[in-house]
Amino acid sequence: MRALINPQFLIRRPAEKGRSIATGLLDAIQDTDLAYFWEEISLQQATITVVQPNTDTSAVREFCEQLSKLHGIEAVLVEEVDGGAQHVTTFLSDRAAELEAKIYGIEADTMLKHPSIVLDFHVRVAPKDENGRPELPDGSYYLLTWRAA
Amino acid sequence: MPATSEHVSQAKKNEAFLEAIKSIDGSADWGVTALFYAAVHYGRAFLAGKSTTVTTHQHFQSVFLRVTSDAVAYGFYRALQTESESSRYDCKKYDWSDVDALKTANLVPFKNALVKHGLSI
Repeated sequence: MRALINPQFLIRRPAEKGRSIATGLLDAIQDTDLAYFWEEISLQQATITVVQPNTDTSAVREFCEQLSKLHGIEAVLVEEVDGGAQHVTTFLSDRAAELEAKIYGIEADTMLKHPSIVLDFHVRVAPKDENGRPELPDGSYYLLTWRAA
Repeated sequence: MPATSEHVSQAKKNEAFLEAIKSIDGSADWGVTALFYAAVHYGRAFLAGKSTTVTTHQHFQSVFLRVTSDAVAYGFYRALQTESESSRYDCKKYDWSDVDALKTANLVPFKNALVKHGLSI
């Protein structure tokens, strides 16, 4: 069996908070003794896999979609923190005042459009490895990650 | 929870602290942080008694926008927050001319916006 994912946009449930529906399904697949592996491909249209139905990710998904129209953004990582707030960090290639002002505007629009969701926004420069490539934190425990194509 | 007057007092204390450390070499990064925390307390002063209690930074952004719908003032606050986090966590270097520029470009208009929304400073 071949599973395809779009590395641009993943939605995951933090592992320590219990098993998700998707994890259960994967377990069921393993029982059938089928070979299974991930292959990263780039698709024009974002493929979104929701494995945590109780958390409303509509606001952060819209936020990412708006940000995808801007240049200079490496990724957005979203964590669910205590109390249900969604901690959203936008990683930039470099600091740029004009870009940051646009991001703050999109943050504000998102919050005004989704008043029932508590969002906590941050902007940081993406850490880089010795070759100058962005070195982002492991997104496997995040609620949602978006990466520039 | 602190009243409006207590938050205003704390905000002014942070601004005074900023002026007091200007003579210390290499302290401009703390100046950036003092600017942000002045904004934090002016913002909380405005929200005191107007909304559900704001106990953390993460609730401030949502509650502030819910109460004011003021995306421009929000942008001033966020700019100060990003600079403060860059200073504290990413070791970004600042000098006092940066701090003065941030104050003029963000803290002053943020305070003015809050006054326009009804805060007495």
